Amino acid sequence: MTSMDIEKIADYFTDSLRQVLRTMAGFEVSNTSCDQLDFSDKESNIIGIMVLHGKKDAVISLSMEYSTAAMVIAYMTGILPEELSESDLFDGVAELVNIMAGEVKARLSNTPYHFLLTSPFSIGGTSLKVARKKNLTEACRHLKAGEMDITFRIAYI
Amino acid sequence: MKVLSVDDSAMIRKIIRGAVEVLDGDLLEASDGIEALELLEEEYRSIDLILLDWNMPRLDGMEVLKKLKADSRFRAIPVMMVTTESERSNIVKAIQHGAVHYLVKPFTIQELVKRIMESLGKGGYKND
Amino acid sequence: MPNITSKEFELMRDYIEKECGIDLGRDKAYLIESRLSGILAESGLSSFQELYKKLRDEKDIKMNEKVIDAITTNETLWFRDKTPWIILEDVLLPQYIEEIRQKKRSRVRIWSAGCSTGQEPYSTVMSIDSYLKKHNIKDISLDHFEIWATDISHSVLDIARAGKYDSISIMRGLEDEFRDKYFTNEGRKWILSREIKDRVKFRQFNLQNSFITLGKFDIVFCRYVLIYFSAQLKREVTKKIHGVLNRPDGVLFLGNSEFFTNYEDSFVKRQHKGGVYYMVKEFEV
Repeated sequence: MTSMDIEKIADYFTDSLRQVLRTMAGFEVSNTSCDQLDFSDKESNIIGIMVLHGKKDAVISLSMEYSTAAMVIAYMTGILPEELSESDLFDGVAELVNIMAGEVKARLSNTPYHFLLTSPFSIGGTSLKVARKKNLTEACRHLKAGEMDITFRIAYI
Repeated sequence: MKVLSVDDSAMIRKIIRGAVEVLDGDLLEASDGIEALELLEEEYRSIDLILLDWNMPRLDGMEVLKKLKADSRFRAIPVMMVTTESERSNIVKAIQHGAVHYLVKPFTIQELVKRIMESLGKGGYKND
Repeated sequence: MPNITSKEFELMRDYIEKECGIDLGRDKAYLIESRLSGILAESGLSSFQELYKKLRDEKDIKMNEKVIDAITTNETLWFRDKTPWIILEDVLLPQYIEEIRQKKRSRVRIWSAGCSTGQEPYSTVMSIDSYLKKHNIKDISLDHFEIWATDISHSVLDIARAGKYDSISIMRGLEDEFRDKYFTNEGRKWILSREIKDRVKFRQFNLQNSFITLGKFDIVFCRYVLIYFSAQLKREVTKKIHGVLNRPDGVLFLGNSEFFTNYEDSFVKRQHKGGVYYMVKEFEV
């Protein structure tokens, strides 16, 4: 597959994520492409990840600060950010990845890009970075609303 | 009114709890199919509705649905699927196996409350 | 392009567009199945083709309403877009109050068309109540206002009538001041005060039906409802709204991001603080 394909597929995912945030959290987020730095060097606290099985396997991730995760999950659950535990945030970010991927899976069914979902998971810590191999076919997007910044990445593996 | 939510995401169960409380109901929670079936052994007489995710560890929602509808103790409890799985063939499959509603994530909270109301008391098992 | 348009699916879409007047964007098309799942289960059918045949052959009006209800989802917020209530407080209420005092009118009738779970009509009552209190107005009360709210869905009306909201809904658009003044909370549930709740008369109503039984209104809210409709149904509904608005100054509010075209013969567009409202024209050309 070409890098053109992956850019288009990245747009499907970000469209889906915008839809998820609009529907479930009441947020409107803007979508911008990433600069070269964002592909690996940007630091975050929490990353939700899912491996996708298709003609080509891929990995998708959502990275954000704890404060962003807390805000998003608070609006989704109606529970105040300060009342959410760390495990609530991990679970919530993983579920965001799951819902986003589920919608794209349905949209891409009966196409050459059809894929299967796997169980999503989250990792957390301080100053997390996503390291990458050279020449990987990948795409990246930023979704922003106010102070919040969520980075979406997809790479064929 | 008592609802059982079967979902491996604690966040989804929290959202469902909010919706059920608005309808003055109580919520029981299970994080996968096995847990759900264990809970039902004890609680099935009091449960009015089951909200079932599809993709879960150990035992998935479709398998749970089949087991529920094959068991005379459980088959009258209405089941609504609440899941990211949204391919047409799977939706039809769930309905054919006796689900009374199919709610795809993402949903709005209003949509969730509305579908719960509509699913309550639908019960029965129409197709054999 | 993803192949989401199999034959049975095209049939359902045609039915929904032609018979229900609902315009399905192509990108939303893949959501139809899950939305119609309840109807499919209820009718004991095992495919969408069978459901289509049943719908087509039986021409059941109730079934038609169920399809519309299933396909349209009203995401409702408190004071959505804010500007209609700013216009109400800055422009319309002062005028109505003056007219009531001068005995030029006895009451104000407001209709929230497509009210979903009640946030819009309740926002309106809270806005009026808070305006009257803020301006220390004693001779005019909520008794002078009659607020109707309708929706096609029986189940959303049940939710609206109950006046109970989860904390997720409460977070959407409701300022703390209004929340604390008009709601009490029990755990994660918020209960609207009776003085607001009892002011709204809810009724099931299909906008495809005749408006004759509704009477006349001073304000019609029809916000983010027409967005689902086909161009033809949109024209029909706005024409009927025009018909139920009081002359000479009945007002229509649409959603702020909705496009309203070819209205010039029937409405005058007015603007106030970034918001838009449409005032009825005396004569339709």
